[in-house]
Amino acid sequence: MRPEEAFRTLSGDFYTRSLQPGPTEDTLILNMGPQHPSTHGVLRIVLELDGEYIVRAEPVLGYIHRMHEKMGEVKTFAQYLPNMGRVDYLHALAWNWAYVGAVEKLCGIEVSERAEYIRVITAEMNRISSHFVWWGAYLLDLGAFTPIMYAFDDREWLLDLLQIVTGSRLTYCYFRFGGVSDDVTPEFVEGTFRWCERMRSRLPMYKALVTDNIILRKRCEEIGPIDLDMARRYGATGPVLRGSGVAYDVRRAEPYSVYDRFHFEIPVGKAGGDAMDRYLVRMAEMEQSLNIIEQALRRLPPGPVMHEKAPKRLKAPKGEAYFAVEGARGKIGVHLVSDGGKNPYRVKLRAPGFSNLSLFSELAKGVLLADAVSILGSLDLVIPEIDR
Amino acid sequence: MHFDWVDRLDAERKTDTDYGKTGSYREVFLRTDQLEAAAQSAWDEGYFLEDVSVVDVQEGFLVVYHFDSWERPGRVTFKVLVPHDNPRVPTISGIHSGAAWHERESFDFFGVIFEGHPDLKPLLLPEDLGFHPLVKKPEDRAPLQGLAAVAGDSKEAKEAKEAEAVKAP
Repeated sequence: MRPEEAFRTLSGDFYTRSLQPGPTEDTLILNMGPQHPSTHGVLRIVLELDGEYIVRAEPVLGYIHRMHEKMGEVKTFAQYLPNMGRVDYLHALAWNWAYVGAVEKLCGIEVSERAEYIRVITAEMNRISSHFVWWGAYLLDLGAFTPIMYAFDDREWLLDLLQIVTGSRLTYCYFRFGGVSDDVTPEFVEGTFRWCERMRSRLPMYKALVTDNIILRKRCEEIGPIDLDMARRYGATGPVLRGSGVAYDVRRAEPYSVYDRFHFEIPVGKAGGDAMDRYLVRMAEMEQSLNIIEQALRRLPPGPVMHEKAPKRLKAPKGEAYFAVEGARGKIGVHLVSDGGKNPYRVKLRAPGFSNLSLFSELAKGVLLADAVSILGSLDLVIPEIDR
Repeated sequence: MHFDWVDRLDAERKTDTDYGKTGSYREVFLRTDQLEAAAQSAWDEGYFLEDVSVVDVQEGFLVVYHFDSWERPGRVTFKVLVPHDNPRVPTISGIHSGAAWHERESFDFFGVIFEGHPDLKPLLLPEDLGFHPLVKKPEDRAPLQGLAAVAGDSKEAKEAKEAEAVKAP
């Protein structure tokens, strides 16, 4: 290697060099990540800074890319199921559901009534556990250490309950084509009722402890406002979109499973919602999920957890199907194409975090570096889901 | 439902698809020169881009765009077929900004070139990878017919269906 080439390597890489020089020369290129604690995993952001203000921000992805879509083409339909728990480790059951739902739609498989209710219960519990991790980690980013201890304490109960039925604590692979793998136990039903009761007293405590805290409010209010035009241009969904005042929730807009049988509200923020609105939406969503869980538990119908007509050996017809569910971060979509073979011909995974993060570049222009950390946290990023 | 705007689109072919089977209400098969105008209509009608997907078939790369709306939910799918030896599609990132990343991802995996893209560089894969991992071997490619519903209402498809119906008993 010639000396000037070595120097080129030292002075940056493909991504920093591709950031074209800006209008002034008085700026600094800074790499935030891929090992920065507030980038939650391995997200890297190349920043151009003028003092402490961000002139340009460019996320660099792919550090935890595992080629899930290629794996879909070399595994059979059933063998691909465990992958779904690993795309988004925080809301694994929503990804389970999106994929299983797409296969069921493609093959015309019916789901047993009891399994539909169990899916709703477990997926909503998983949504709350995902919001717990977001809550604790977001406050860690903002400098508050204690809340994550409370969040993980409550989450531990939840994981114990989910472990009874799914057998695992994080990367669930519980849903099957036509139902779920195992029935709920009386212990699970009883424990979940008691846990819901406990949460009803914990959520007000969270509010008193954290949400009303003046330091949190100063770090979140009027930070990173997203208007409707921006949200739609980037295809933002989930709490990021609802924080801006749009009551768009796949559970209501494109009802799947038995969600149309439950009463629940869709919490929204105000037009031009800031980081605080997104925070409040997620906190309110936890309460709504509790409502859904309790309704579903009370009405849990008897019967088998697998539909009696569910195929023992899956034979997928030619064709394609798109199935979307509401994940903790927004709209999860699976586009499945089959050529009639034993493997999917093509699987496309729509990750909500991918679209939500894509608006960061525009949102971070002109803000303080410290506020960018607050914005990133308010988007609730799970990098394995974005990189897939 | 409310898909008048889709019916007004300038397109090669339009198909009403069964939502219960495919998850989409309308499928529009476009030529590359019709794509931008269609994407603009989708934007004007209040739709947002869900994702951009590519399917590698015998006839070429099928670029698939999924759109949905907040106020009037119902998926609309746009499809563009480009040849393997010259996979060029105009970008729609000027209209739907989020498309910029989806298009970079499709470029990564398939090498489809989105003309007019502001910064078409690798997104998920290393910049020096040198190949496109989701491109299939020629012998593994399936024909488009029957795979995707794009040709669902074409003459050949109907004939094929009738021929199958005759064989069935």
